[in-house]
This record gives sequence, C-alpha cells and structure tokens, in this order.
Amino acid sequence: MTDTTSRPIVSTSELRRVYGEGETAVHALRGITTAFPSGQFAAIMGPSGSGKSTLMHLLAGLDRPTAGSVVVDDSELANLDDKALTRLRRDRLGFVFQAYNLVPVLTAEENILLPLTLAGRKPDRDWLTLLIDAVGLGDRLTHRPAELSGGQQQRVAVARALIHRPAVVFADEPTGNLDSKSSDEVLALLRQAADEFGQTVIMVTHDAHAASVADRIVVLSDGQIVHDGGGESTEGVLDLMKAVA
Amino acid sequence: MLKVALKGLLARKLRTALTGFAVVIGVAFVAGTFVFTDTIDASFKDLFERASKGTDVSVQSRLAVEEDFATPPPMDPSTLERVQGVDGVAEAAGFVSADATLLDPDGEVITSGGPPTLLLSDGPERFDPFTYVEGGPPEGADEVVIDKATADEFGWHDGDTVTVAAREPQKQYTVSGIARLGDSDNLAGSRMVLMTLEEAQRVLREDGYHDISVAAASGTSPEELKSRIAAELGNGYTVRTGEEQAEKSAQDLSDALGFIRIALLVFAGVAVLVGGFLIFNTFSVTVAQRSREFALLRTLGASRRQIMNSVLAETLAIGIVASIVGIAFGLLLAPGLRALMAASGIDIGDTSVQLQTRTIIVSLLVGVVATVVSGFVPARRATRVQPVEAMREAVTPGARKVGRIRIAVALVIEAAGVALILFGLLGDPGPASATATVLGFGTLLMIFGLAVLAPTLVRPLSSLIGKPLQRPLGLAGQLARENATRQPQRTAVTASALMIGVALVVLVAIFAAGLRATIDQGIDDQVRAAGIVTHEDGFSPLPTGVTDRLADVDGVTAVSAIRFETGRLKGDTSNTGVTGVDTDTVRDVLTLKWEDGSDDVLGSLGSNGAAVNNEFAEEHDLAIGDSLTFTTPRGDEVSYEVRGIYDSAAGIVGGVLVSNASLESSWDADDIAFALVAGDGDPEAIKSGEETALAEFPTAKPQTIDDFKEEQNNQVNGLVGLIYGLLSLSVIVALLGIVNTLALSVFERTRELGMLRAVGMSRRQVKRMVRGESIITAFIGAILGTVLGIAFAALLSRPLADEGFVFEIPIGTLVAVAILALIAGVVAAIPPARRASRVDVLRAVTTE
Repeated sequence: MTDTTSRPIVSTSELRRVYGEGETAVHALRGITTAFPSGQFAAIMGPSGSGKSTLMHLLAGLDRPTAGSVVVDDSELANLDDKALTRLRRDRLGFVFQAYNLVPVLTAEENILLPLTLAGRKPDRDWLTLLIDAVGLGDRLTHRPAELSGGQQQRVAVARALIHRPAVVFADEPTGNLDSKSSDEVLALLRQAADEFGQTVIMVTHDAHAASVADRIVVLSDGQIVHDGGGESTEGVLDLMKAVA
Repeated sequence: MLKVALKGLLARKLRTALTGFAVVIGVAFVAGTFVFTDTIDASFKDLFERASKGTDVSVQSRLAVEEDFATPPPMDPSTLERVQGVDGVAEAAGFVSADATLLDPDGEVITSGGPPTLLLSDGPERFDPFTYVEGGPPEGADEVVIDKATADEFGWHDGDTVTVAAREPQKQYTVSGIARLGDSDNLAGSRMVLMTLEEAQRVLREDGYHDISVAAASGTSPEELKSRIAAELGNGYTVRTGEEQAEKSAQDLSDALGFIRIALLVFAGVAVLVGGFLIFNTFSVTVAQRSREFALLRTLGASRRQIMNSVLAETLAIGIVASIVGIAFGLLLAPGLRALMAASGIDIGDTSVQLQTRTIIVSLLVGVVATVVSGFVPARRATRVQPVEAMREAVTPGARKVGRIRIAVALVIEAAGVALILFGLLGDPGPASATATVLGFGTLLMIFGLAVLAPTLVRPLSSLIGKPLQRPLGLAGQLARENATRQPQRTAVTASALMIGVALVVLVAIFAAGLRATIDQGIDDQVRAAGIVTHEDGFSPLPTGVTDRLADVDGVTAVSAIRFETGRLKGDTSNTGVTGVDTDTVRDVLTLKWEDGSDDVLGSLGSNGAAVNNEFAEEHDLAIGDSLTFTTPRGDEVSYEVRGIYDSAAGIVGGVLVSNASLESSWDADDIAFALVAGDGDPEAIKSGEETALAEFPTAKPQTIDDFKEEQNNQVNGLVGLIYGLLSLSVIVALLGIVNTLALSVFERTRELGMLRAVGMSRRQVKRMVRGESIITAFIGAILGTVLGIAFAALLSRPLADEGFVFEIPIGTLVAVAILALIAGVVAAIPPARRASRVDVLRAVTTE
C-alpha cells in the first residue's frame, strides 16, 4: 500500500544505470521513477539480471547513476561527494548483506555498535537493550562472529542496522544463506522494525517467502518496473514471478 | 603443472615482483661485493705488473719478522755494487720509497685517509713504468713529478711549485712532469711524488736502497739471474724475479682485500637472510590464499608431488629472475660501496669494473638457494590442502594454535645459540675461521630461536603497543591491534625480518658506545699529559726532530716520546707489539696500575728491562726476573729481564714496555709513534705554541688530550656510520616485507573492508587502521630486535670485560630506534593503506 500522504523517505526520478559503452553497453536500469514512504517495508524482486541489486546500490549511495536522481532523507545524492556519502551511510542508512556482515575480530556487541563507534557517538543504552532483547542475543554479546551461527550473525547484523535509528534499512538478500528457521527469525525482526519502530525497510530478494513478509512488492525486469503493488502471500509472489519470467 | 605455475606468477605480477625484489637486493649486495673487491684486486695487480716493468730480478733485504705491508729495512749501498758485478746483469739500479706528505697551495697537508702519498725515487729509463702527460722525469734535486689525478685535483701543471715533506723538514719543488701509470691516473688511489734518487735519499735520510731492480742481459733468463744473484748476496736478502715480485705484492693485497670482502659478504648475508624471511612469509600467505585453487587441482587429479613441484617451480622462477636482476644491480652497487667507504674515510680509488664468472655463479646460487629454501615449507603446506576445500567458501584459515611445544622448541634453539656463542668466545674452537663459523651459527640460532618464539609474543606485544594507539586512533586503532593478532604467525615472521636489522644496529650502537667509553676511560686512567702530538693521519710515525722542537714550547714541562716496534717472542708463532718509552720523562705523562711493581719500574727500565701486562705474563708464564727474548725485524735477538707486571687495560700502550734507548740501539728503530707532552697552564695555549714550533713538520699534529679523545670517538663513529650504511639495505628489505604482508592482508580482507566502508567507515579511518597495523608490526620487530641486540652485546662483550671494556646501553640510540620504527611503520603503510581505502565498496559487498 503506497501511502501518498507521508513524505517519501527515498525517491528516484528517471534513474538509469549503464555499464560499458557502444555495442557492448549493458542497460541495467532504464529509467526508474519511484518513491518509498517512511515506515514501509518494501521488497524489490526480479529474475537474475533484472537490475534489482543495481537499484538498491543506487538507492543506498553505493553506486552512482548514469542519469537520473536519487533523494534520500531530503539529500540529493548526486550533490554529495564521497566523504558526504560515507557519512550518509554511516549516520542515516542501515545495511544487512547476505554474508560478510560482521567484523570477525569484534564481539557481537561491538559489531552492533559499529556505526556509532565510527561516528564517535555514544549509544542510547535503553535503545540498545531494547534491540538486543528484540534480536534475542542477550547471552551472546561477548562472542565473536566465528562463535555464532549463520542465523545469529544475521540477527546481529539487523541489530547493527538499527542501532543508530537510520532513515532507511537496506537489506540485500538477508536470508540467502540461512535455513528456513533462521530465515523466519530474521524476517520477523525486519517486520518488527517496520511495525514497532517505524523503520523503513527496502529489501532485495529472490525468495518468494521472504517477499511475502513485505507491505509492498516491486518487481523489476530488464531494468524496468513491471509490477508495483501491495503485499502478497508466498503463492501470490510466485505467481507474480511466473508472469515476468 | 609448470604452465599453471608460470601462468599463476604472471597473473600476480605485482606480488611476484615485490617478493622477487627482496632477493634482488640480497643478491645485488653479494654481487656488488665481489665486483667491488675484484675490481680493486685487478687494478692493483695491473699496477704491480706495470711497476715492475723492465725488472727481471728484484732484490730486497729479508725481513726476519714477517709482517704484512711492512717495508723491509734498506740495503747498504755496497749491495748494488755486488749485484752489478754478477754475470748476466745488463743493468741494475737502486730505488728508495716511503710515505711522504704533499702540501696543498694553502700549506695544508693533503691526506687521503686511506692510501698514503708515496715518495718514489726515479731510475734509469728501462725501469721507468710511467707515461708522462706533461713534461718528463725530474732532472735535479729541486724537481718532482706528480701523479695526474693529484695534479688535476689541484690544478697543477708542469712548472708549478709544490711542497713535499718526509723525514726532513718540508721543501718546495718545481713540477717537472705529470705522470700516469697505465690506465690509472694515480697509483690505484695513492698519490705519488717522484724525485731523483739523491734527493729522495736525502729527504728520507737513507743512504742505501729499499729495492734494487735488475735487468738481465740477452741470453740470460730471469730465473737464472735470480739464482746467481741470490748465490752472490747470501742469506740476508730476498731475491725474486720481476714476475714473482709483482705476484707477491698482488697476493699480499689480495689477502688484505679478503678481509674486506668477507666483512662485506657478512652484511650481504644478513640482507639475504632477511630476504629469505620475506619470501617465506609471502609464499606462506599466498599458499593460504590459494588453497581453493590447489583444492581444485587436487580434485581434478593432481598429485601432491605435482602441487609441490608447481609451487617450487614458482620459487625457482622467482629466484632465477631475481638473481639475474640482482647481478645487474650489483654492478651498480659496486661504485656505491666504493663511495660509502670513501665517505667513511677509506678511499680505494677509481678503476674499471670487473665481473668475473665466479661472481655470476655465486650470485645465482645464493639467490636461487635462498628463494627455494625459503619457499620449501610453504610449498609443503600447499600439498596438505584437501580436495574438498574446493567446494567450500574461500575462508582464510584461522590462526593455528600456538602451543607449548613451540615455546619449548624456541627456548631450546635459543639456548643452543647462546651456548655456541659462548663457546666461540670463551672456549677455543681453533683458528679464526672456525671461531667465526661457530659464532656465526650461534648468532643464526639465536635469531631463529626468537623468530620461532615470536608468534607467542605477538599478542602481548600487540596489546602493549596497541593500547597507546587506541587513544588517538579510536576504533581504527582497536581494529589494527586485532588484525595484527589475527594471524600471529604472519605478523611474527614479518616483524622478525625487521628484528634482524634492528638487533644488529643495536648491537653496533652498544658496542660503539662501549668502545667510546672504554677509550675515554683508558685515556683518563693512564694519561697525565696536557697534550699529544701524532702524525696527521693518526698512524704513521713521526720524525724524531719533532721532540726537540716541542721541548722549547712555552709551558711544556716534559716531552715523552713513545715508539712502537714489532718483534717475535722466541717460541711464539705470531708477532708481538713492543712499546718503547722514554724512561726519563714517561712518568710525567703516563701512569699505570700495577699488579707487581709501580710506576718507578718505568723509570728504571734501562737497556734491558721490560714491563709486561698481566695478560701477556699469564700467556707466557712470566714472573719478575724472568727473561724475554725477541727477534727484531732485522733478525737480531734481543733479551730483556721482566721488572714489573701491570694491569692490562685499554689504553695507549701495548702489552710489553721497554725503553726507547734499547729500541734505538738494539732494534734500529728510527721513528717515534707519537709524543706525549706534559705542561703547566692551559692545554689550548700549549697546543698553539706547539703548532708554531712544528711549522716545519706539517705532518705533525698537536692536540690537547680532549681533542685526542674526540678524534678517537669520531673514528669509532665513522666506522659505525659505515656499518649502519651497510645494514640499511637489510632494513629496507624488512620494510618491503611489511609492505608486502600488509598488501596481502588487505587483499584478503577486501570483503570486510567493503562492508566497513558501506556501513560508514571513512577512507581516512580505513587508512588509519592499516597504518596502525603497520606500526604495530614495525614496533614488534623493533622491540624484539632491541632485546636480541642487547643480548648479543652482552654476550660478545663477556671476554672483553676483562680488558676493561665498558658495557653501556646508549638510551639515546634506543629512543632513536623506536622513533625510526614508528616512521618506518607509517611509511610502509602508505601503499597498502591507500589500496585499502580505495576498495570498491560495490564489488566488495556484491554477492551475485
């Protein structure tokens, strides 16, 4: 359900991304115009090569578009240099990747606090306790990633993504490496973040079950949006994907 | 498999190049040393051959006591007549030669630091080896010929005036000619002054000859003539053919050069050793990173032997290419070595470059062996990769547990090293070469022992160093510390490479400090004089006329001459230095500590009394009243009675003291080594008075005792500077090792770095993190090296402690080492830090 009354926290206009040039040019995105309102949990889906990861990278300021604009939390990304983009990511965005989320030499707690430590800020202890309870890792705080299961690592990553109360949380295939139980735990967390903490979540996934948790499903194919609608059940998602394949 | 290996190398060109560079430097040093010494050797050989031009037979007087580079005593003039009378002699001429001093146009003495200025007498044309670029040989007593190099340096030409001094006061001469010898503008580094025979003899106060050159008449071979002349002259003479003489001189020089060569090769060896550490480390890391690749090969059917050979082939390829490049660099390094020695005061001269086959072979061997041996253990590790690892995500293996066994092994190795060194120093392993080998092995064992122990020390040392870093660097500092301890083995090996260089620097620094302190203390203990007068160059003898002039100087209360001679004690196989003192005045300038006797003994030495130090007395089982018999260089036997035994300590007198009077009468000794001057009043004032009095003896240099101490200290410092220069190459290789390891570990952590950048770590913070790791590694190396260096110094100074060697730890130098380690860490981090901060965030976090 696209909520048009609240100001979009992320919006794009005629976003294009081309790799290479001339005959070998690859048009990953062919003019995407869309917006994500605050508090929405959106899933971006599509087959391989559809441009979904590219879109997320551009939205998160990890890559620069060939044309078009991206505005995140009222900042036009094209106007920001690398230092400013870095600060944006540090202070206003949260990330959960498919793997390699955590710094191996830091404990779980230190990993959670990473964005704040980088910024030189002290954590809000209450918020931290809340988060730790939410992710259910109270007894694992002093453990290093190597001592945590895949699911636990991803949960630490989610907590890290939320600790600094970012404007948007970007999740890139967060359940890709997980078994179904851990998968459900992580998705539940992201859902909780959207519902209880009012967090905006933009998740890229190819997993129908993961997408069924979202409020909104955007499907890309060949660099363009081919579907943009409300949440669906897992079967509904699979039908959608079949239609675009 | 060979193709796989070579393709792999080409794919990682930069890494291969960095690894190879370590070997290049070591090999360049080895090759450079050989080229350098061979070049000197060849140029001197050429010089000696040319100098013996036209000489079929050469006659010198025989030295009863053989000593390298000692000039044989002159021969009586009648000898020449006897030689001329021998059948088959076409022409014979006598020559004199000695060290002399040239003065520059400002009246200052021209010293060359290394080779002296040679004064030679001229002879008949058939014996003249020189080529004249201007003018010709000297015709009269007021004419001289100068070598071209010196003439060019001072802009002298035919007709100019120059001043020369030898044993007689200085005199001015007109330049009659400028000469070269063969390809050399001077005598392979030495300056030359050529005079007529009569003038040379006058100036050297010699009426005889130092050597006689003989040309054979046609029909007589040099060998035949040699036996005839030898038969005629009898035993007191050394008769050689011209060729034999040239060979002997060249051989003497080669032997001396041998020492320099070995010393330089030791430093080259250190560089190679450090390079070996670097190769070991690099290959260990790359093998670990390529475990997936090896697993794949094993899955496809490669045997363990094939994998091993593949990795070894890589090391071999690097070794060969690096050695070849190293040889090329060595050719460049040789002039660098020459410049380094010249800057420290040892001027060997300028000649064309010699690249012998032996050099190429040895350099190749050293480079290849070092590389392959260092790569052997990593190669074996590569074979242990299981095929199944090809299926797993490439995870860099975690640190292997550092266990008790390792610590025990390390301590055993360390103890063995210490034991060997102590044995080498205090035991008696035999000739110098055996001792050196034992000491060398002991040192290597100590180095390896500490290197094996190092991984256990990485964690505590990282904490120690990391804590202060965390305050300024924050999270970056914490991550730096953690990263350094992630793979303690890797950090340890990298740090160990630096440890070696630092240990040697610290060792030298401690020794130099000790040497300076010992010299100062020795002088303070023994010398009571206000000043000292030595030759300008610090070791040549002074003409005796100097003492007379000194007595007249204002404020001088006593002038005491000291002489040195070399003799051989009956029953000994090596020579003994004998010091002569002026029995009337020596107690005014010198005081000794006595075991048996007192300073009064010095006053009553007379013509046959001697005092010995307790070390000498112990070695030769001497007590008061025993007799000592020496063979002098002339071949005479002289006996002394032991009248006193003094404490051996560092100082300015040797182990045996006799009176100057006896040296003059029984040893035929003419020159004094130096003079000590006792005086009232300001030593500076006395010194100026002396300078005025000695105006005619420009080679004599008066100094206050403080000046003298400073000069001695400077000489130590000069040598230390040279050694630091030679060690600097090893340190550079070690720094390259740090750069290399860091670069590899950055590469390994690309994903992690990307993630950190995605989450908001700034480029600057990333750079700080990498820099922090580098500093920690460098400091670990510096700390271990300092500890090792102090241990070395403590061990090596054990036997010297008895001689009064002062063991001092120069805090200043250690602080300087720490600061340099810091700078080194920062500099080494620059390329890897930049690479780390430039990690493409996108590529790093993408999983598709």
